[in-house]
Amino acid sequence: MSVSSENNKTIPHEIIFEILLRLPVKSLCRFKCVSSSWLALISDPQFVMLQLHRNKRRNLILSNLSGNSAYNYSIDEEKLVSVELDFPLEQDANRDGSGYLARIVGSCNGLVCTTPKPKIFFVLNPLTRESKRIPDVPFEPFPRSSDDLYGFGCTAEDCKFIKVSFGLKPNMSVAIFSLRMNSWRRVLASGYTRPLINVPGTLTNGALHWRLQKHGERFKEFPLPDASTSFRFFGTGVLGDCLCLQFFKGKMKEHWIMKEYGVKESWTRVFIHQDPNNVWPLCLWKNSTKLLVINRKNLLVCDCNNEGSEDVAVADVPNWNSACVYVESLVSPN
Amino acid sequence: MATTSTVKLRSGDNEVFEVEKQVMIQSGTIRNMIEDDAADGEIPLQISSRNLAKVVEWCKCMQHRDRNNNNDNKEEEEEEEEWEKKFDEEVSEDKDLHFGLLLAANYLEIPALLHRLCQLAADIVKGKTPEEIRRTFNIKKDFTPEEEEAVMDEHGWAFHD
Repeated sequence: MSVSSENNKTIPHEIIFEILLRLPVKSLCRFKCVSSSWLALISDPQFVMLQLHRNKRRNLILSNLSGNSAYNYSIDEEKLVSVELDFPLEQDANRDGSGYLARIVGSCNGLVCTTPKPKIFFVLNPLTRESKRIPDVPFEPFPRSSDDLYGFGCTAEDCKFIKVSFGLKPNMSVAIFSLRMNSWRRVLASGYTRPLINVPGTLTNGALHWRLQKHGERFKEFPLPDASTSFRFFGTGVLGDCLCLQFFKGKMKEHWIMKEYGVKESWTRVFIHQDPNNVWPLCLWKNSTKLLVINRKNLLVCDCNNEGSEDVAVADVPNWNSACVYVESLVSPN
Repeated sequence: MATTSTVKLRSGDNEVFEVEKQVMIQSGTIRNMIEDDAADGEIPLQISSRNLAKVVEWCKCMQHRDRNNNNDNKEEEEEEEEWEKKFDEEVSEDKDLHFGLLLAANYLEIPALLHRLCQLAADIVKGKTPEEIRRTFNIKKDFTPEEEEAVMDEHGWAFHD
């Protein structure tokens, strides 16, 4: 090889691969149109999984209170700017849902699960715009059960949608839809009744978490922080890969995370707020110990290690109904 | 056998660079040669002197930074940041240099440099159109008209803001 030809050499496949791994999802979707080899590379399941694990770009999605759309923010960009996303779901959801507000159930692997109409669920990748409707559950053990619990999350290889319904006796039916298998299976368990407040379950470490009233021992149960006995329990969530619990204590809302999964002693109070009705924590803010939180009007950065410090508003938010943070990925719901 | 503390690298256009071994062990390829006692003579490399000089400069800067990691010398830290910023700018503005360094970092197995150059490449190309990408990477569009229509149908939205 002569030296002068060095720079005209084409870039080898393995370097192209490394460059593509560092690109945002939107660029990758566009670059599927470059050539058949780029299309094959970007669509390759191995590339999709590597991109998912390497890429730490996070987005916030807010369902719009006044219409069938959502707002999206790239959290890790310099500036937080909202982009309106279409929820391409209306035409498929023909059940009457007047007065029903579209809600986001949860997210994992870059997929977001939403319910635009009662008992109708979609899984979508907001960035690649692929979506899939979850088929209705083929079994209804408690036909009169109306107030079911729903959750969405992933194990290592699969994403699962979970529906929990309760009978009159303390028993429950858990229906699990596997995206990979495209099928439902079910687990029955006795000894549980419906929780007092209906919130989406929280999935982390390959398991869904709800706070259920306990009458038996069938499902794996989790130790709560000792201090929690004097609180009113509110909900579960995930913060920086840790299971997070929310409690009311009088007018204060407290958030605790379990730093080491399953270890009772690792429960740590991370966030406390005076105005419990108006502030929800979303995620850690840009590699710091600060939290990104949301109220009815703004996205705020809250320094919870520094009591008395003021929250800093970083963006306005439109009228929103539910909020969820997801990572950028090429993972397809289909 | 008396071993020296330097290695001699000969560029494709016959320029010889004498560099401390401690600096060049950042390259997996050179490190293997040193460990195999195969680095005592000149090491011929199919890399131009311009690109090789840049690689050596980069390795020196990184080694200097790692060695001073424990010192809290603000001035030196700023100087290094300044150097890295200049490096990024120079590479981003010169495609021949950028691609030449990518190939060199890949061949010499310098993961940190390769990572940096790939990240720079990603930052540069992320807003480009497929046509610009084809020109940048010298790629032929090999879709049939039907395939192109299908792929544009599916991903055409990604062309808009």
